[in-house]
Amino acid sequence: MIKLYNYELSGNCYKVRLILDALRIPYERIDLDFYPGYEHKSPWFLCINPLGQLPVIDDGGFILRDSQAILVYLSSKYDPSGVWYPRDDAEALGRIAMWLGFAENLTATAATARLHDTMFYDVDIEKCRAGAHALLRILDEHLWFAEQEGHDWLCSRDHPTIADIACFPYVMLSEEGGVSRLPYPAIRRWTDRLKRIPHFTLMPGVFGASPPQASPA
Amino acid sequence: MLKDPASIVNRWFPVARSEEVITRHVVQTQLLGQEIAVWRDDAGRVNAWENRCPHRGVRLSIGFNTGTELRCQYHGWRYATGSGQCTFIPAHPTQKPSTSIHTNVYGSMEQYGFVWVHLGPQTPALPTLPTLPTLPTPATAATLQATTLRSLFVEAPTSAVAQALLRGYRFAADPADDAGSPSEGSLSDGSMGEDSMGGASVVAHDQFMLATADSNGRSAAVTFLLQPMTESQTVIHGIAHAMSPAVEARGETVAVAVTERAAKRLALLRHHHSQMTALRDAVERALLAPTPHRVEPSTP
Repeated sequence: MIKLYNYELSGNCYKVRLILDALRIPYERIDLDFYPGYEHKSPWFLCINPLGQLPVIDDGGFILRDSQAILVYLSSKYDPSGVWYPRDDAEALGRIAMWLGFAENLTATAATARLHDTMFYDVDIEKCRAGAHALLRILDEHLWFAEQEGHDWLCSRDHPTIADIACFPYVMLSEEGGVSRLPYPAIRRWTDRLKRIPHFTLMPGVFGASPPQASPA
Repeated sequence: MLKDPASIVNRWFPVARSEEVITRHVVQTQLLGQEIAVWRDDAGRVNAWENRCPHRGVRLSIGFNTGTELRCQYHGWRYATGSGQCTFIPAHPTQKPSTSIHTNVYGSMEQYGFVWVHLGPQTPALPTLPTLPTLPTPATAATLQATTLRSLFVEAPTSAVAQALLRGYRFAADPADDAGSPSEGSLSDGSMGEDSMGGASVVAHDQFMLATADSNGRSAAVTFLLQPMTESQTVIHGIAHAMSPAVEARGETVAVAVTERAAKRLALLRHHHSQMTALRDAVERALLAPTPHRVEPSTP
């Protein structure tokens, strides 16, 4: 069984839990005391990931770190339908890689602001928040025009890809870092849609979407 | 523009594009510093409530829109569409909630493609759309091909945004003319060159601002409506009106005509978005810039 080195309050670990659940892959959690214990910087864990970062997975001895890399690996290996990561569509793969990079930028800004506010990390908080708003502006604009063209997702029309999973957590948790999403109504509609995908799971700080309207029989 | 607080509260303001207030969703917005939860019930009726649960003050916008009620995320208290009356308290399932428990309901209505809200107790008259100048008869949005634009959030006071729009919102009467022309830099200097970006004239009319442009034999107009979110944040709402007759399909199949119209609509939305974004960036930059020293003119 896949082992996930996990921290419940980490948005990057949440991404991996979301894709594992969406693909119905059973897994075993190994929970670390990220805060206040800093167990991800402990000698035993640095042997597994010298960067001292979560998440990491161990799939039968194949060890992989970096949440974005893990999304690529799991969707490539365990999604026979290929909807989450369309292997044969070069343009889709290019766009997905672009949004995975965008997710890294969210980690550097919105997620870092959250570490400052909730776990007292010493960072330039105003710079983090301004950087997060600059990204959310771009994201809201992209999603608004995508909707106009009938696309529900970041880089696909009908089914989300791992790009949506990668960007979702630190957008959804931004207010824990003092980054209001009030100016971003298209982001709000997109997060509601994502919360309605089958087998969607919550984490602390992420609330469910309103129950969908029953479709007429 | 917004000087007398009492008269401001007793006015309608647009707070959201109607088509974005979808069912089973709660829109979170703000008007004159007041946070508002806007939601549509399954019958299509729109509610605008203070974004605060009367029980423990939690934002209603993180709650659930069940189609007939809003359910608070915190303790599950439920509030009915229309009245805002509390209908159910989970901790007291057999008791009927007191009639004194209800959300703070604001007056709301839908018109011109937007949801409008007023915060004050009296219901004011809704502002009328300005008459579009080149049309022979008074026209309303309904009689024209009207397209609501992407509403744009600006980190600036409403007065500064209004000034910038009046000073020089520039756009092409036909977005097809816009291909390759720069959208940046044309705003700050206020120059009105004879380029494709027909130097629009912008006039204030009631709460609206009407910008018109003529270029290459076509004319177009856009009306702007401003939503003062806070003292330092504004949303620009806009309606684009095509005033020249739409290009008729030239014997193509219906599907081609529909595709063409959709492409034109998208081009129109993107054109105004890029012009509005340039204006937004200029306004925000001007607020960030240090106050320039006054230089006395050296000419006599």
